[in-house]
Formats: sequence, structure tokens, C-alpha cells
Amino acid sequence: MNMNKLYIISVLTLLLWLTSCSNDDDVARMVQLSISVQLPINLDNASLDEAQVVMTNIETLATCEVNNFEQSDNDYTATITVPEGRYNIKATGGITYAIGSSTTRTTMRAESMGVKVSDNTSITLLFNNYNAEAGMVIEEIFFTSSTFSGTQRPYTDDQYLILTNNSDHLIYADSLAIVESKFQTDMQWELTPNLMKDAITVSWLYLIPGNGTSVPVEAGESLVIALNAKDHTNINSTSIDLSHADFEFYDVSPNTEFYDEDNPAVANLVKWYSDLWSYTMLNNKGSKSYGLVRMHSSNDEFIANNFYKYSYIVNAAWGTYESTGDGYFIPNSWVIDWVNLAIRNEWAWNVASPMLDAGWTYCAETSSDKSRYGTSVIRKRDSSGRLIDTNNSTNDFLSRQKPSLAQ
Amino acid sequence: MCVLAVLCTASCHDDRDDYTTIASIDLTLPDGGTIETMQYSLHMMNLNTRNTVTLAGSTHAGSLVVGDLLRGAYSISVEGVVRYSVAGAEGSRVAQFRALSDYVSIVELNKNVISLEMILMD
Amino acid sequence: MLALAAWHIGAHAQAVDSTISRHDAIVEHQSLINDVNELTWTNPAMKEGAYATSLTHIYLTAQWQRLTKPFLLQHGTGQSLVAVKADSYIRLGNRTAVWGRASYSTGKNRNIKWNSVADYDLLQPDVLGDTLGGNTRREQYVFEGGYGTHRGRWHLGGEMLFRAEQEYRKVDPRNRSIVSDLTLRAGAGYDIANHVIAFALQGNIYRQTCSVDFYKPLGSIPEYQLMGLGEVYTRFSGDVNDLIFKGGGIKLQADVSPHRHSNGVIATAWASQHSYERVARMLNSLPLTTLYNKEVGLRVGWKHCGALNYALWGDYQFNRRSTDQYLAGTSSSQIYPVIAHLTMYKNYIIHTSLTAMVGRNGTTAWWVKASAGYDGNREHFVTPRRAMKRGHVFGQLEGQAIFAPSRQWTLTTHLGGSYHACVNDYLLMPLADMEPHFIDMIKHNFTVLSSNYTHAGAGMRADYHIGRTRYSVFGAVRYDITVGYNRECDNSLLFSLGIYI
Repeated sequence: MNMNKLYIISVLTLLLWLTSCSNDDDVARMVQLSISVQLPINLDNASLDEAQVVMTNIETLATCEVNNFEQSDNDYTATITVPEGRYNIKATGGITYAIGSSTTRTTMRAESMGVKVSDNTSITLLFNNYNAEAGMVIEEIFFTSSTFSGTQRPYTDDQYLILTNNSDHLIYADSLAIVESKFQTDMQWELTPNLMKDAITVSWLYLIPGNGTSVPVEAGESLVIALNAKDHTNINSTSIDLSHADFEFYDVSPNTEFYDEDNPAVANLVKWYSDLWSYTMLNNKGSKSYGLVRMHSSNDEFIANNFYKYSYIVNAAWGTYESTGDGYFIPNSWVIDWVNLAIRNEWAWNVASPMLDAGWTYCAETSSDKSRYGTSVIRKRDSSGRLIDTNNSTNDFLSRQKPSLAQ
Repeated sequence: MCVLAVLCTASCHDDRDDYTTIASIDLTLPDGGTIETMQYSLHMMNLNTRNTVTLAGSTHAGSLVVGDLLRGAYSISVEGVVRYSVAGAEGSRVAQFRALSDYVSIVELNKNVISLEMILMD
Repeated sequence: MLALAAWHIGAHAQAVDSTISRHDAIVEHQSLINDVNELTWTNPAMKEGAYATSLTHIYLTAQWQRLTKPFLLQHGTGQSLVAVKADSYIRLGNRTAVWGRASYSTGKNRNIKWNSVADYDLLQPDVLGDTLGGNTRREQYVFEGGYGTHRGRWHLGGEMLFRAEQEYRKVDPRNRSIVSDLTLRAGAGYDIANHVIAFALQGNIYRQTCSVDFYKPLGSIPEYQLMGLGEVYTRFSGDVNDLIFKGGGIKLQADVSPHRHSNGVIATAWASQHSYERVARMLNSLPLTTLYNKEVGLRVGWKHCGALNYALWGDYQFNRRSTDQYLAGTSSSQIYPVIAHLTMYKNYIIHTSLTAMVGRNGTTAWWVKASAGYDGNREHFVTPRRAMKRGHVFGQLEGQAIFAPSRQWTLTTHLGGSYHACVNDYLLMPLADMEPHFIDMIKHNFTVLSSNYTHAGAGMRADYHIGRTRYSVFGAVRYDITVGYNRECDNSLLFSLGIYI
């Protein structure tokens, strides 16, 4: 054979051999996975029911559900077979546990993201009894109220709160409740029992009414909750027009001298509980704290199951005394958002677990500070426009701001 | 031709394929104290990619080991419940805790040790 | 000025070539058989022997391209370009030749998305991009010049190529990219047994500045530092919009080619490495990524000259692209230390083909060229794992005829077509962790890249030789169409009008 032709054939053969034929199409093999779900050890007499784990394969979006778990002390385990890969894992479960002398049941969640699952992998999920629902937050509390034009006399009717959907998806606000703390941040009590690590104690609770899908709030949208939904500028030129609020507080007050007004064009919150004798107002000094709660029981169940009595010791400037009281508790796991308010120079303690809010914000420097009127606390926004929520109101809020609804 | 191929493969740049490392997160109680049991949920967010690795479990020590971790800069958040005892005090206590760091560098190839102090929330 | 110089030198050269007709010059310079030597003639030591005739063109072109749907989102839906060009090859006797090219082009690219930089094909995947995009305007200046000579058995040559380009947009997002690209080549060869064996060394320096501004205060969108397969350098994406790309590389090449009109072996082997570093200027010149591009290639074949000319050659080209990501530590006064770097993206590209050509020169010249081969592309991002792969086998057929219907006219016709069939494809993405617009972008590009496609093209050029002068005028038109996924089309039309001497 001609040497030149042989040379060419050799080269061509080499070219064909060098052509990449590698096959890296990964066909995922099935592997065994052990899932363990743990209850927090700080819950008393805790038990789990309706546990569900949903695993989503990050690459294929295929999901796998696990519902049957075997209990071993505080652990609930299951063994399944899944394709090898990376998963996002979310767990939910109903956990019944004791708070004080009562028993409560709440839905708790746990999640692990980006988990690599290969053969004989073990995954542990820890339920968290603080369930901040990534989404609805309290954006603003205008609790100080305005003053009558040209005076320092407070005009107390134009208080309001703004609730905002800080997520990127639709949230239904039905069954969200606005609550006020029973205890004051400028007066520390030694409580027995002290339920704060597990629950908040409220002085009133007002619910946003609906059937579950009645109050849709789109991502970034807000609800204005007025104490009195009317155009207050008609009475006081320095006040605020709240006639277009989304909801208002309305109380049928037994006191004929101090009665509430009802704007029929604005839906009323549903009053579940209040220990006030007259119509509801926000504490205009900032001694009380406020929260947003997702209720997991009916009104009757709440009244029947969440009542408790306590005793307390007050260490006041004029002496120490003991007393008793009672109130209604709400498990921390039901709390969506909490904002501790205080009087700046008179802060004594936070009235909720630091897991709910590690800090506090204010408008008044002292209890007699009249410059607080007409100021509000407003949540900060980050560079992308999202509201900042680090569960620390000291960092998350701007103090003594002009109310956002003021002209 | 062979010389050219050798020159190309022996070129100045070598791939940096040392992607992963091990991180050991040592949690300590404030004011001393001995951890008896700790349930934790660990979140490590890679500051460059914003990907988050989460790990949960329980341990009788205060040290968490995370293997197969992409080298880089991370923010770390640990929260959970700890049962601990304090020298000179009877019995053990239970408290929720948090431990945070906005920035840790996890680039050493052998082992990276991060020390965090727990903040007791109860 | 280069055109004037070319005209002057060309006039002198023409006097040297006066015995060679202009038709023969067109046949020699335009013949499809020159594809055999397209690689060896990148070696300036070899290019001196490329042509026996001189030819200088000065011409205008207008190009119009329109796609019914974008093929690659980063390439857009077409362009409109006009250009003035001059290119020249001039023999200064039997031993020496000079060549050069100058051009200015301006025009518009349409609907570019996910890409705010110029030279996307060179710098991808390490580009800046956004979801909005839009039309861009483009200007390019090119200057090239080379010199080759042979003394005795030795061949020497040198060449310089310079390109300056800017691409910009006058509405938000207002990108502006300015490119300067300089290449220097030097070659040396030696005659052995009717062949020239030569080596060449090439160096390249590249620089591009790129910035994106938003004039509307509330209208800014994030600019993403893309890193391949939809992965983003999240920490520095958003408003880090002022970048520099700087780099360059070297290339070594060895060539074998028979003397003009001789039979013999055609061979070229080359190896090159280029790197391009992406630097964030507003972060005190923090390097974000470096793209490494290593390439090896081989062409081996045989060329026969006789009553019937034929050539047969095989090509192999392997390209390895990788990106090193620089991991930044915590900043102090906007100064970020680099704490490590990892090779996160890898891309392997392979091309193999076998080509055969047959034809003849002369007053009526014709050529037929057929080739078949395989193109493969495999890329992946290390973690979170992403992978994309596609491979095509292709077949291609081209024909060319150059003839002189009269002494005053030379007509060149060209017809070709090819078919590329996808024989393997694969896509793996962390869909649960990706934002929807990234998923859409990756899925669109993968659908296009892994589809079968057909290409066809036809062109004609008419040269009119003006009397007994040394000038000729020509006009050319070329139409190409590519039909790809979902029968979407890429149509391209090119007009040229000019003179040559």
C-alpha cells in the first residue's frame, strides 16, 4: 500500500478514536435513607402526631412523602428508599405539649435545604416551636396618636397598625390576630408561673375575619388596621385620614361616655378577648407590646383552654408587693411577628421570649415625653426593598418617625 | 505536534479542585457551664453564592462537625435547646439558645475550627 | 490611508504581475481549494507562498440578519451592519509578499438578552447579564498587516492584527463595552523535500471595559455576574456594574505544506492557552473570575495538483474552557481580600471531521467539497451541580464555479448546505433552587443547542474588468438560511460593492 495513503488512514483512525464518546448521563440509583424527627427537649410532655416529611429533589423536582414514623423517646424515625441526589426537606407535625397546667397543640415545622442523600444517609430534623411564618410582618405601629392642631393635647383616635406581606407569594390574612401584651415593658414582674419561654400573655385579641381565603394579601401589599376608620382630618387638621383602612377595631362599649365609632364601610375585626372596660386603644406611651398571631383554635376553644392564673411580685420604687392575676396565653409557636415597645429611659424587661423579639423600639423618651405624639415606629427596608426582619426590633425598626399615612 | 500537546497540557494554570473541607463549630456556654444535651439546627449560608446548608441533630457535646463543605466565606446561625449544668449549682437547666456569626472564613484544606458563644434565650 | 497605500503598492505590484490576467487572480484568491491551507496560512512564514498574484479590494458591505426567534438569547434576533473594508495581498517580487486589511463597521444588534458585554463568544460564560436586555449599537475598527519572505530555503514572516470595538445601548440598561484586542505573530520555516515546514508563535493582549448604568432612579434591575449554566456570583450581583476583562494568551503552531502547484502533505498542529480575568473596578479591582481557554488542534491531509486537483484531510480540535472563581473574604472599606479560588466551571468542546475536495482551476474553475464529522460540547458547574451536554453529527456539501462569460466579466457562484443531527443531549439543573427566569433562559438555550438544524447558502459575485485599466468593479450577494428548532429560521443577506486592483 502506498505509504502516503497508509499514513492518512492511520491519522483518520486516530481522529475517530479521539472523538469524545464519554457518557456522563447520571442515572440516579436508589439508596436507603433514615429520617429522624426530634421534638425540642424543652417541651414538657410532648407528643407528635400527623407528622409528614416532604422531600423535593433539587434537580428533578420529584417529591417523596413520608408519613409513618416509629417513636423512640423524643425521636420519631422512618426509613425510606429514594433516588440518590440533593434534596430540600420540609417536615410538619402536630405537637401536643404542656404550658403551665394547660395542654396545647400546635403545628410545628422543620426544614433542611440542600441535603446530599447517598447510600445509608441519616438525616435529623428538629422541630422548632417558634414558627415565624415567612411573610406577614408588622410594618408600622402608630401608637402615640396625633395632637390637636396648635396644641400638645393628644388626639387619640387616629392610631393604626400596618401589616405587610413581606414574602414573594400570596398570603391569606384570615385568622390572623392582632394582640396586645398583658404585661408592660416598664414594669418587671416576677411571675409564677412564667410562661414567657413558651407563650405570650395577652390583654386583648382581635381577629381578621374570613373563611380562609377571604383576605388575600399579595406579595408586598399591606393591610391598614385602624383603631377608628374615619377621616380624622375633618376633626383635627394635623391628624390622618383612615377612612380607607382595610379593617378597624370596634367595641360595643358599656361606657356610654366613652363609646366606639363604627364605619360601616370598613370591616370590623372580630373581638375574641379583651380585658379592657372601654373601647380599645393602643398604649400611647409604648409600654405595651404588640404581635401578629395565627390562631389554631376557635374562639370558644381559646377561651376554654388558654386561660391561666399567675402570681407576681412587683419591685417598685415605693416597695415590693405581691399580687395575683389571670390572663390568656398564646403559644409562641402561633406567633407570626412580635414587636416589643418600650419607653426608652424606663425599659425594664421584654414581655415575650427573645426568640420572638430580642430587642425593642420606642417613641417616648420618658413616660411624660410629649414630643412622642405624632411619631411612629416603622420597620426598615433593605436595599432590595424588602422589610428587614431579624426578630430584633432594636435593629429592625426606625424610632420616632413621621407616620407613613400622615400628609 | 507532541511537543505542542505537552506544552499545552503542562501549561501555567492548574485546576483548583480542592473544593471541600471540614468545619468544626465549637459552641460554648456563657459563664462556663457544661453541656449535657444539645439539640441544634445549624444554618450555614455561603456568602458568595447565598446557598444555605442546614443541619439538625442532637449531641452531648458542644461541637458540631460539618463535612463535605464547599470552601468559602459563610455566615453561621445555630439555634436550638440546650440542657446544661453549672458548677456549684444543683441539677441541670434547659434553655433555648442562639449562636451567630456574620462572617467566618472556611478555606483551610484540613479542618476549620469556629468558636461561637451561645446566647441563652430563656 | 491603508487603502491608498495598498493602491499605490498594488499599482507597482501589478506592473510586476502584468502577464497574469485579472481573471486568474480572482480564481487564485477566491477558489474553494484555498480552504485546504486556511490553517497553514495563519502562519506568516507560510503565507508568503499563498498566492502568485496580487489582489487588492476596497469595498462596501451591508449585512442584514434576522431570526424569527432568538437561537441563543445572548446572540439576539439579528443584526444590521454596514462596513467599509480594504484588504490586500501584494507580491513584491518572487520572494516577498505583504498583506493587510482595514475595516470600519457600524450597525445594530437586536434583542440581546442575558448579555451586557461585547465578545460574548470569547468571554462566555463569565459575562454580565440581565433579564431585560435590548438592542445595542456597535462599531468596530480592524487593522491587520503582515510581511513574509523567503531567502534560499528559509521562510520568515510577521503579522500584526488589531481590533477596537465598542458596543453600547442608549436606553436602560445602558451598557457600554469598549474592546481592544492586539495579536502579534511571527513565523519561520524551512524547505525540505518539496515541502515547507514552519513554526509560528502568536501572542495576544486583550482588554474590555464594560459598564451598565440606569438613568431612571426606580428602574434599575439587577445585573448578574454569570458563571455558567445559570449560576450567578450572587454576592457581587445586583449593582456591581463596572467591570474590566483583561487577558490574552499565546499560541504555538507547526505547519507542513507542499510548494505551490506541488503534491504533498498538508498538516497543521497548534496549541494555545488564553485567559481572561473579570475584575470589579468599583470594589477596588477585586478579581471575580478568570476564564481559561486551552486549545489543541490538528489537521492532516494530502493535496494533489494535476489535471484534476483533489485534497483529503481530517481535522481534530479540542477546546477546554474553565473558570476559576475567586472567593472573597470580609470587606474593609470596600476592599475584599481573596481567600481562595476554585475551578467551578468546566467546558469541553470537540470537533472532528473528514473533508474531501475535488476540482480544477483554469478559465472555468469548479470545486466540490464534502465533509462529515462530529461536534460535541460538554459543560458542567461543580456545585451546586449543573450539567449540559450535546453532540451533533453533520454532513456538508459545497460547490463553487468561477467562469468568464466574456473577457470583461468573471462570475463566481457558490452553493452549499449542511445538516446537523443531535445524537446525544443531557441537561441537569438544580431546578428547586433556581429562579424562574434563569430556568427559562437555560431551557431555551438548551432546546436550541440540542436541536437538529439545516443550513443552506448561495452566493454570486460578478467582476467587471474596466477596459485595459488595472481596475475592476465587483458586486456580490450572498444569502444564508439556517432552520433550527421548531422550524425557526435565521436569515442572513450580505451585499458587497467595490473595486479591486
